[in-house]
Amino acid sequence: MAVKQKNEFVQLGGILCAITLVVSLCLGAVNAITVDPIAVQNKLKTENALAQVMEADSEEIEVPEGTTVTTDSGTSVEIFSAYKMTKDGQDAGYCVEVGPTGFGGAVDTMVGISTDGKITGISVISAASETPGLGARSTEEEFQAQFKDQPADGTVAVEKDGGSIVALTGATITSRAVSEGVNAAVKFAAEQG
Amino acid sequence: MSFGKSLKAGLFTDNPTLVQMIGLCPTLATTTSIVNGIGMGLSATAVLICSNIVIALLRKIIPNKVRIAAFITIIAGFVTMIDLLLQAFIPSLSASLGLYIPLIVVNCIILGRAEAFASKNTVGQSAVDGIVMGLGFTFALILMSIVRELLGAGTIGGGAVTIFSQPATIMILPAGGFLTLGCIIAVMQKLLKKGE
Repeated sequence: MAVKQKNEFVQLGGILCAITLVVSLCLGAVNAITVDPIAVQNKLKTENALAQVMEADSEEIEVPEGTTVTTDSGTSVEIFSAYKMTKDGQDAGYCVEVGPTGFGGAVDTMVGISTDGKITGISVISAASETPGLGARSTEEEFQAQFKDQPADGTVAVEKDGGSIVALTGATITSRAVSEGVNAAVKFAAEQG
Repeated sequence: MSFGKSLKAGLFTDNPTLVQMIGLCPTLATTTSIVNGIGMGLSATAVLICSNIVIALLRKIIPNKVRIAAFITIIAGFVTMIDLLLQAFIPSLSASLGLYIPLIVVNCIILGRAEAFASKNTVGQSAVDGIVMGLGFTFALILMSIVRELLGAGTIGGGAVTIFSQPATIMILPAGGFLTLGCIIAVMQKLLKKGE
């Protein structure tokens, strides 16, 4: 009886192990095919966003994973990546990709900051975890255009909080998150000198 | 059972979402726009067909005692593959469905059909079952998303056509999902009763 039971365990385990092995091999194959196209897609997205917020040459600055900046209002915002911008050999400022927490997760946003202390523009790269039709509308041009030429001193805020950004209808949380993201980007850029 | 009859069962009389009442979580979550509804429906259909075929192939090998673990491993494998393929080749769809693709793993339609059908029938029958049940799910998602997008955002097809500009936002929020689902199920039951 004991032997039979042991055999059954070996048999069950063996079959499950074999299935898992085959599935893993297939996954490995698919990953090998898709890893390059995915990297290209992600790079393309970042480059588009950079071009949108500032017309200048970019040089990526090393940002350790999990770096966060706490804004003056006490919100902690993750910094995804940062770029030092130069135009015609002149220092043009910084572009910082931030991930402030919105309604459903990080709102991936690129922020351009010029050397004369202004926001040159923002681009919401992905608001996939925000509510479609509400917070997800933060990817629209009309909303983003408001941030252009805002002062880069950490005071960007929605109207409800005493600022000048008109929040998206029904999506104050997302609008607030993007504003805080901009402030965090400014602070991070200031720390870079 | 002929394909036509199976199709009718999948779409109407035995519709997975509206009659069997399985897979309701993705139905409520993804139907905020028609594009999302169709994307989710077709992705789930692809996974369902693949998993049904493989599980039917392996039905004599998979021991009864570990069948659920084996099914989930196979389904999760297919879902991850589709997720990677979408990210690589259809990034726009991947961006809007991003969060929901991993949810297909726990979509009860897929595990439900594996357990109730594919593990007891031939490969051919299981493939047909995957197609019709997948289409039934897609059909339900399209119905839901048309109603919700029209009333909640005032558009059809992701802003391509704007019908009116003062939409009832609640319809694309979770509450609207429940309202729409309830109404559609009620209409479906009424029609099915009439058809009997």
